[in-house]
Amino acid sequence: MIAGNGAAAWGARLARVEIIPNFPITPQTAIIEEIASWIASGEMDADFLPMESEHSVQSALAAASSAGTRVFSATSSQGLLLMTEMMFVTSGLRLPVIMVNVSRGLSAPITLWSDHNDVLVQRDSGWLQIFCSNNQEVLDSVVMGYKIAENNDVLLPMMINLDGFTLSATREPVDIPGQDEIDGFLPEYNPKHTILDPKEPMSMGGAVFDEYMYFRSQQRMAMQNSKGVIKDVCAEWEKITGRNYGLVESYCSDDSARVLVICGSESAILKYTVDKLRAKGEKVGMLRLRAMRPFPCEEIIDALSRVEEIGVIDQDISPGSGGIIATEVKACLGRGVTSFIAGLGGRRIGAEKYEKIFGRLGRDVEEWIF
Amino acid sequence: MLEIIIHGRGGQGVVVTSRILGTAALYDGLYAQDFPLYGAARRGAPVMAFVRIDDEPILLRGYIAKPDIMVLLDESIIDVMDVFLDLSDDCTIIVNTTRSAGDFRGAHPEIKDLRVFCVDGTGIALEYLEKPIPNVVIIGFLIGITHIISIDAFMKSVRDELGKYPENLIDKNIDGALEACELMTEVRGAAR
Repeated sequence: MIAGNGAAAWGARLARVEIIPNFPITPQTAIIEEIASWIASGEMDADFLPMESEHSVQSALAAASSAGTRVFSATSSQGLLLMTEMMFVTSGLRLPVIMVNVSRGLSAPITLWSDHNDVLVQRDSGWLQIFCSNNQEVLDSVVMGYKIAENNDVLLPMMINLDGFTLSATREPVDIPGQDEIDGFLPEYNPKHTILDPKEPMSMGGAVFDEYMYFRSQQRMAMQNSKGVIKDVCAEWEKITGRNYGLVESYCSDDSARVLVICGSESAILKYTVDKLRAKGEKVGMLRLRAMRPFPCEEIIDALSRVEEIGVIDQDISPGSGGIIATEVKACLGRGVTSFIAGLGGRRIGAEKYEKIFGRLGRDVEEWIF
Repeated sequence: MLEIIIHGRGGQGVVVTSRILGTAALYDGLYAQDFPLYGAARRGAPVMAFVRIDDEPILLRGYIAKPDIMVLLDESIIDVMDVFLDLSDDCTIIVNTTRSAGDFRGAHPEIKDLRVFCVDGTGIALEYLEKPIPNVVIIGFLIGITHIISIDAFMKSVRDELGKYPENLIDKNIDGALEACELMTEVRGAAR
């Protein structure tokens, strides 16, 4: 029985991370506490660097990764926002940093509960973004993350998101792969390009003029490459563990007339609802976006092209525009969807409300589910 | 699926109660999920924890609105929260109290016809552990009533979840729990 936070810590341990700069914030703190206890007991050989703020954590991640080490950290909500300036530096320097975010609503007012606005604020930061639906997926995604991010066709940092409390503090059965299995899957980090070494001094991220746009286009290309790399790494992972992941998870959406698009741990409750309604003969399904960046547009078109009515659940809001994921799904499909804003600040949705939501599709409007 | 909610106060072992039940269910070959719900919790503040147990993988997550079993580790929670609101008719309530089930029912008419079982868990804990921490004792009582997990799985789980405490304290907790489990036969008659 392992909570989402424990699963994240296990992923980092199995990946043999070497440096963990960190700063505590609820509901993430248990991740770095667990790692600290393993380092103290000698079960894990890594350097634990308590920093003075999240901004410094992100700076230290970039610096340590530049020195050629495999690095890890975790944050949440306000902590992720405080990192913002340095997030763009890490991705611009093309460093394969893996960081877990435990999603929590943003202040003010203060909430400790899950909400996706913290992650989605960072969607333009040049990081790969993966949303997990259960604790097993958290562990698996952290390990796979290094193999994806360190691929020479990618070299981008990755943020792995798990929902506060509904995953982070919830324990459920998790299979922990053996260290031998992981060592066979994930080789030691051996960077080809960026290694800070006092013997061979090098400047990174210096000022440029017209070349700036070239670097941004390289980042875009890396993001495009990552789609194929994610699929390949997931296929390899499936061979070892039998667990199958991809850019999206399509659940009963092939023959469905009505489909809800969702991301994160709420998808499990939606699956429960889909099972219940299909048992009554209703043709409903679910499409879970596992990758938010790269945005899986082709996969969404594939899964939804024959679907009559589409709804999108957003646990986030861009005031003045609307549900962030609904906006992106509409742009991708070139057609209207029903946009549901729900579960902000962890407000309970529950299976009974998903049933009602399925009855309210077919309108190109935004509806708030309280 | 069986859904359990545990109410108590920070420091009484609410979260550990949910963990012992979750781990024990796993030892019994079942699927389980356990989790706490709290704000910036501190000793003495109301805390809730939840457990789901099923013989197939569990899809539902989050708050349990209509539990099959409600455990009140601290009777005074009733004064600060409307814990009996909207309970389903087949919910079983287990209370840590010095009152009898009849007295408890008299003091709380809002529980209507729900099954109520009362035990002085804190008294038993004081006797065995010399500490007013009733959670493991109450789990023993819960097993006596519901048989949702086996005694063997319970004992293994307690050793896992209390692993950081001295061996003799764990033994005393288990002894207290076993006494509470046997008490059950007496109490069951007075419940209705």
